Amino acid sequence: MAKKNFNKSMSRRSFLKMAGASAAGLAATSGLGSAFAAPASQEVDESLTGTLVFWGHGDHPLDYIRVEFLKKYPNVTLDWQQIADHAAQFKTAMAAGTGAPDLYWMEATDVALYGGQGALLETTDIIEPIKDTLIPGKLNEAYVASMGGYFGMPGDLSVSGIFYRADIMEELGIEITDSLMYEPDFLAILSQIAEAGKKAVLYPAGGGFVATAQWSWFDAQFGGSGPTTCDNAEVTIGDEASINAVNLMKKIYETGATLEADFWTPEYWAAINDSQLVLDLCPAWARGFWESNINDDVKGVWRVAPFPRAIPGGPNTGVWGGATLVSPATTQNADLAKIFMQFAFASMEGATAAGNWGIIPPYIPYLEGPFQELTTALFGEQKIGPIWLDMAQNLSLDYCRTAAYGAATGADVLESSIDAMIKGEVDIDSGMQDVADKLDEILPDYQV
Amino acid sequence: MTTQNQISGAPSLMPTPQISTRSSIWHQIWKHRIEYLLISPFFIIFGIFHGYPLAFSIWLSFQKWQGIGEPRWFGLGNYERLLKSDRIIGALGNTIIFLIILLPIIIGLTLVLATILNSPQIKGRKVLRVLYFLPYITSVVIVAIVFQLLLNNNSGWINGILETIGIGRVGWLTEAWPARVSVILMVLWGATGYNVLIMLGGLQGIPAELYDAASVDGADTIQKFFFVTVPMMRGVILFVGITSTIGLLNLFTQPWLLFSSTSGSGPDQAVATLNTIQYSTAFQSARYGEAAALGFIIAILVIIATLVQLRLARAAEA
Amino acid sequence: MAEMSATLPQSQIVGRSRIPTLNRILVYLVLIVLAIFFMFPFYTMVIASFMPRTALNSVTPTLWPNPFIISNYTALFSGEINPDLIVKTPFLRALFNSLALAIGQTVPALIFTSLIGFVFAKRRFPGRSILFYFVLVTMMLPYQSTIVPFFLLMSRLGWINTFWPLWVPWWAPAWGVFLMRQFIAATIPDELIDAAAIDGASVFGMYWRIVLPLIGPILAVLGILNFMNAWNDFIYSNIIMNDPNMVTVPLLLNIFKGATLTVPEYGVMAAGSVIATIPLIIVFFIFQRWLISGIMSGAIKA
Repeated sequence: MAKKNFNKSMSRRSFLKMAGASAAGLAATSGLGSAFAAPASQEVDESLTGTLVFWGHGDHPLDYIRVEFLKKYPNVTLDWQQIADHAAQFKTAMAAGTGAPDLYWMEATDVALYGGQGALLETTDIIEPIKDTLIPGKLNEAYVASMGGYFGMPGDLSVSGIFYRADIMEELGIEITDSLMYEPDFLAILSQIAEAGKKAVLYPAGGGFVATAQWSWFDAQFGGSGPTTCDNAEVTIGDEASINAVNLMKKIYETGATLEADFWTPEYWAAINDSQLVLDLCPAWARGFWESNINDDVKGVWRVAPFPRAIPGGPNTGVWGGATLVSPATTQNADLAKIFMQFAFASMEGATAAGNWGIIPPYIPYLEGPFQELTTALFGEQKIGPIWLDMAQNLSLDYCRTAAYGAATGADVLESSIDAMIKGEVDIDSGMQDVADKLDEILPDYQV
Repeated sequence: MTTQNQISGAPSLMPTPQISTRSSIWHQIWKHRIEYLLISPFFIIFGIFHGYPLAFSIWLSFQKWQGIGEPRWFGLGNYERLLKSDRIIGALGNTIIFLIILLPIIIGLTLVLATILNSPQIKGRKVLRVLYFLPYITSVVIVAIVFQLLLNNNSGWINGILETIGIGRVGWLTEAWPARVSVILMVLWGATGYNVLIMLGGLQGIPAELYDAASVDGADTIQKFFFVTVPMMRGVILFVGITSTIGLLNLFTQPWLLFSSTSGSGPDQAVATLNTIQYSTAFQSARYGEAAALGFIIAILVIIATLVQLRLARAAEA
Repeated sequence: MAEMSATLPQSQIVGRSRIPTLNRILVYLVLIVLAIFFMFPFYTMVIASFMPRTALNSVTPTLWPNPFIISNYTALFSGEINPDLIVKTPFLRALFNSLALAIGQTVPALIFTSLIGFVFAKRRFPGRSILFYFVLVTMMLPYQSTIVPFFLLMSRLGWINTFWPLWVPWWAPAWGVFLMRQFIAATIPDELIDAAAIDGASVFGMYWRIVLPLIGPILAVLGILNFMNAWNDFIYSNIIMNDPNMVTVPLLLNIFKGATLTVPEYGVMAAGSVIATIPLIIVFFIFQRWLISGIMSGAIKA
């Protein structure tokens, strides 16, 4: 445990270390330590030299990975720069064609956009040999169909599941299993929760990006390919899977159980703290935020479960966010960058460090190994590793976030139209047809 | 020739054109070379540092560009798309609503407040002035959080008060018109202190003798305000009017902060402004050419609104 | 030459007809209610700086820090926010950078805008009207889309990670020229200028000896506003500065937001914001003395 007494409130990683340490029986070291020690078979390679520049925020998963990397390659210089608004700075540098870093943590849709334009370093040569060690559903996101290759190293599995209050579900006699269907099981559960005067599932006024994220999940679960086909050639946002997704959202809204608060505002945390919100659909990375924002007395009583299924045997999860480690094509240190990428998410040391920080790397040996023992403050004694891993292996392989994904789900296409449909003000079939038409109009902009 | 700045006259609002037919234009220019030299820093700085980026922006507005790779020529395509878009029309409506409601309030409120805070009869006005100015230096992040806490539906402090006194809750962040009121409140919160300061500066330029003369003529406080203060402050009032117009037609921060879930659009797209759309078109949808075009559409609106204001000001002067 | 009289006695200053007591109470009431409205978020910020970072999550109004901690301030200066967030730029360094940025931008701006504003206000020359309208129009142009070419230009000039991009382009802001022109046109009598012309003064001489002494108040206003704008700049500083030694306060406070996976360090951000406003408040108080009514009276007795 860190010797210095910083904010009196522990960083959430300290919680993780405590939980992890006791489970694994390892003593945590101070600061950037590891709950799970890296495998002892780590040879030190002093011959590797060079410099890599990374732009990110302070307190980044790559900080942990960096420590491990330097243990193995002590003569490499890793210049991790803390940038205030790194997204703006990165996009500006890339647009101007000068000054970009060697490494960047990039969202999936941007990978498709930048990769498709040849602005990223191609990593097919390091990915091909290790394909089997990475979760296929996540690996897809580093693949750019129009270029026929991989760009970057998949980083954070952004699987999503149900977060629920085990104690309250028990009180209400509700059973959350891993084989629920949305209809009728899940809707019935929501109605029950609503009748008990509680809330389940966040749905902000106006819908917004929460609504589009939920659409995204359900579309994948209904077998859709997202807003477009995987080669970014045609609009599919108006197809059957998509319409089913919106219909489902409407039914969820009509159960009356949804919480009308804004995303992760004090109102939302208060609803959790007051045990008003007893169930929500959340991405894996929400856990860290939850632990940092809610009171201790409501931690430990939450549990995680896979999403209900939309079609029998279909995916039981969806993705939200989740970045890929990339390198701009202009980098002068391509080989060193590739070595780092491989270490970061395709080696036990790197994956363990990433997992300790709190993201879920797509490296299967890690996920089947130390990750299985992971316990957290939020989920108490529940071993969440096996559950996330099962979901990861069930990710839809037909669903893609292409270059047009950001715009398609963004404010000028889906985001501004979906609320009216869910509230019943606009008919869903014709509403989605309008959305599809809008996307049709701008899709050529995103095709190279 | 320029209107003379006499004690009882109104100051000239805008420079009037100066064309003398007596000597040739080149002789005139050479004669005033020192004036041109002295004003040149503005034009040089603008030309080098802002002119080139703006020219790039204009050029970009005729292209399709996703932020990487080569821009593709699109002619007037971006402008067409924008002007046909329902969303843009809606945002234009919202922007104009905000302008019409807020502009008179800002001008009137800040002038009155500044006059009051200028009066030696108000004790503690120096401290009050600082307090009124605090919004300008409060961290934007904190402001967003505080307004959320005040306005949210279930546990908001304002709704708490309203419920206690029997009026009942209002959906400040969840319904269309209340959402607009929320934005208006937040804008007023932020813009008042700054403009009061400017008005205060302007008030210092009014000689006390004018008020003395008015008192001798039997004017009371209200009359002095309308017959001495307002006319003498016309130039500064015009400044506040024009800069506020520019700010309001470019409104972005408040809708964005209050309604970040919906990219600044709010319930039923009620508070979407042209500028929030511009931002999301650029940074969420990566259509930089279209965003640049929208920026210029906003600029044209601003120029039109300013011309209207100048006309009105001239007419009022007559 | 005009003589500046000292501040006139109270009885001759603005609006001194007696206000009836009831109106007075109303006026004070309104002023105080407004004051509370305006300062409330600032007060919250100060309180938040003495509380743990999750304090702002509470929906019940907190009017006094509970629990009261000062570790936010110590963390701010040591740079060690929590075991995983060690900030590379010392806070004092960031304060110094912001100060350099603000002063380097404001002082030349005061000189240029007042000089240019004077020439537009009181000097007649061909094209004066057109050129001034041009200045106005530059205030209305869309600068949001100019970031990338701006960055490219600065990159080519080799000015990345220096103060120059945050100084030079802002030395003659259009709004400043506009404000100065309006004030000078309204306040400085033509007779003074004409008298000086007859005495053979140069244009610059007129500016230096007549105009400058009389525009104290508006220079103060412009100084305050420009200083604060510069101090609070984020967008341009963000793309110009990535060297930890050049980071300014707004950038540093944003870094405290940390990763997207953890909660922003609101406590430390608030502490940083509170300290960052101290110079601004000092500047405000310094410049406030020009905003005392009465300075202008007597100026025209020449």
